[in-house]
Amino acid sequence: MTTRRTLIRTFARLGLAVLASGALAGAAPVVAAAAGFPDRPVTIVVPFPPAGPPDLLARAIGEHLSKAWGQPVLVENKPGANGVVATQFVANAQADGYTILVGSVATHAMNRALRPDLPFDTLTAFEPVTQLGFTPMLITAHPSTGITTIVQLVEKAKAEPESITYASVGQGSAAHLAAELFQAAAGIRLVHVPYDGIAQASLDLISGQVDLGFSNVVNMLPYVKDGKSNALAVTDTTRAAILPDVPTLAEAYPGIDVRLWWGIFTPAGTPSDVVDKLSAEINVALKDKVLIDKWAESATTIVGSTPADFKALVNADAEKWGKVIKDANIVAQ
Amino acid sequence: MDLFTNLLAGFATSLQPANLLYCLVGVIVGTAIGVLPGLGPLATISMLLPLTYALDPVSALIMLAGIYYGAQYGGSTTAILVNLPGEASSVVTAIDGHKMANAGRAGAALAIAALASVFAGTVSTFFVAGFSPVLANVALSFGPAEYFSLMVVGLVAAVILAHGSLLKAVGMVLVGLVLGSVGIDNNSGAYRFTFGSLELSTGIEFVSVAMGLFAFADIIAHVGEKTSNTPVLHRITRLWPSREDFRDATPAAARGTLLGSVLGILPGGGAALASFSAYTLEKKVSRHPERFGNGAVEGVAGPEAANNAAAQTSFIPMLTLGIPSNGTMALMMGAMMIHNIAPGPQVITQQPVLFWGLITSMFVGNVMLVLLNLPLVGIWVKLISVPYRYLYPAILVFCVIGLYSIQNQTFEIMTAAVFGFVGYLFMRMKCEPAPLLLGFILGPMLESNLKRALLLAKGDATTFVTRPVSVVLLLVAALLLATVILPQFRKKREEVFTEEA
Repeated sequence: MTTRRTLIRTFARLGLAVLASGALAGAAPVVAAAAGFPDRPVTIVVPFPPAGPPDLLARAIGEHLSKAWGQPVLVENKPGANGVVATQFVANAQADGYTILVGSVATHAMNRALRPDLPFDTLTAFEPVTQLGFTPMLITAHPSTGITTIVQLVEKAKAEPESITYASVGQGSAAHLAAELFQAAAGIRLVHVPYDGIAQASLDLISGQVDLGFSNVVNMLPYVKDGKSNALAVTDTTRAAILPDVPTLAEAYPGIDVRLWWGIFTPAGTPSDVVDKLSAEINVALKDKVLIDKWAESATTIVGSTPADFKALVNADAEKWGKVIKDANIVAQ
Repeated sequence: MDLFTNLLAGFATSLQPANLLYCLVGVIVGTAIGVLPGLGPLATISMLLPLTYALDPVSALIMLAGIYYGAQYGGSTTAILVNLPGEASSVVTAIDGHKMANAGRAGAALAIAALASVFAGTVSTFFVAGFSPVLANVALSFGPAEYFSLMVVGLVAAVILAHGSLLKAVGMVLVGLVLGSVGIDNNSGAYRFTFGSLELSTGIEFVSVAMGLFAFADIIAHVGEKTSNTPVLHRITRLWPSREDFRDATPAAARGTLLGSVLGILPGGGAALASFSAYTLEKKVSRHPERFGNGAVEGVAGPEAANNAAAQTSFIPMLTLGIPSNGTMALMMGAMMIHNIAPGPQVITQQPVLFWGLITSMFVGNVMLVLLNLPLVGIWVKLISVPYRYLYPAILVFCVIGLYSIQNQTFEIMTAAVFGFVGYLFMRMKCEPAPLLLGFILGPMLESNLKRALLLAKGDATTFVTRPVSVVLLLVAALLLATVILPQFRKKREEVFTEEA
């Protein structure tokens, strides 16, 4: 009996020791995590297909990081389920900074309220690292409507409610939500016409099948310059350098702005010094003048931020869009 | 001349070294699969779709188009030499072509087939170039109501021109429509047929459906078959046809080109229908119909010209209206959508490089095909002797890699496997999968255009019959539907397809 009891005790002690050392081993990298980081290749997961703005941004900073660290930085595109596949993949990845994600206002501030089926909470499953940049939307009207300013639009919409149609790239898209935000602020009702893609939407915007468009600046820019479409406002707090004559939405409705941003996230639990190191180095990449000027041509502002600032932005936008989605009752059933 | 400046700009694209290379790859692969009876352009293009992710859209489409018309060439080579038509469109070529080969005139038959094809290819290139912009201009004024009606026409035509039983074709279109509705609805945000699966929330991957139904199902079907005995090859002695051959073949090729060009544009039309109709036409206009079936040169020249012309003109509705006229065009449309190019009338104005580059590449490809086929005919024929037990596993591996690469996940492979099995069942039940694919592609567009048209008309459903273009299209659809229900036409249609099969 005694021997047995001793044995058990010994095992128990051993177990404790193992647990303790495990805890130590677990704690140890936190202390020195950033010291050797990165000592192997880093993967940037992009939840969108190649060649879009988030992909190009990821490749630009990837190039800088691999030069700065002497480690390969791979960009992996994982489109699918509107970004949920990639987001979930990174949420479940090792929280060590070697798998990072390019998130957007859609994946990290809108999907949360739009998609009740999300297998994670974007606010708690990720550590925000830094913002990369943002672009406003452009509100346009077909010339045949006679609408050239936001004021005219609101007057007309108030005179005849639900008579003006607007195109978006789908139910729950950023364009749809931006339009809902604007309608609530202006106290008007427009008719939402969802399209399957920007190509079809812009075709109908130019031919005048649909009256208004909420779209990315680059998509409608050539038609605005040709006079085939009237630019009413950019949804930012400052005017876009490439469209200096177009007022901002905030000029008419202070406090109302829509910025489609992109930023870097790591899985929750990533050591804070690794997050800081990632953030600092990416911010160096974002200070590149050539990069900033190139993106300005498509009305995209390149801007980095600290993890804390970025976290504040993500939380604020999640709350803002969550309210819009709830008030407009856009939640999918 | 606007047309010529456009064509020149197109050649500037299609004659770039990289594009020339992809065109060459396309026509070589096309000829090879044309020669192999087990593989058709549908299966091959579906297999190569994932590969085009990495390519420039122009290069990708040039290559895929090369496969399609290249297959028409390859198919006729084996039809003539070993009486083994590699493609459905070369079935009729075998009738007289193989007889010519039996009479020791294999070389002449091959040369006639190649020359008739290149003639048709050249003429129909100009046909596509001249006709498309006109049609695209008309289509630019199309709104959602017109698109809805146009798609109704497309779906009705897909049913009429499908092979075999009418009821089965309707059933396949409906299955396609249901499959197309899987995912989050863009209008309401409702989850449809997703069964809680995250991967299904954006719908079923088009490439998986296509590869499963065509490539995987074909492979399963062929593994089930007994391997055919080694065919008897005819030696080619003299390649150049005689003066009389040219005299007989030239008008036949011209007629075939015209007929093929027209039939290619029709929804549901394409190479197979064109070559069969051209053969019937030649037999009717000939002063010596008794020569047909005994090695008539016209019986080779007419159908060969027709199938090539039709293969090319079937691009017109896809490029200008965004409506695929057959399964292969549905795949080409898928390839464009992969590159975020929405097919439709705006392609010509917004993507002139792509449009004119693709069209001129068809001419370049046709020239390549003649240069490739006549001297290398011996090598192509040897391909038949490659045992399928080596060929099929290799193809399968290639497919699976392609499927994985779409989104870097295995879900697409599983989906394709399911559709492979389903496709095999369809094959055994003699249900043609092409109408399903058309339903799958057109269904979501049909639905969203319907909803959009109603939204824009503020819920007024008469918008479809008060807009002139829309009502004409709906009348055309009704007319087509009426002809199908008429017993005489139905009988005729079934006759046509039994003869063809």
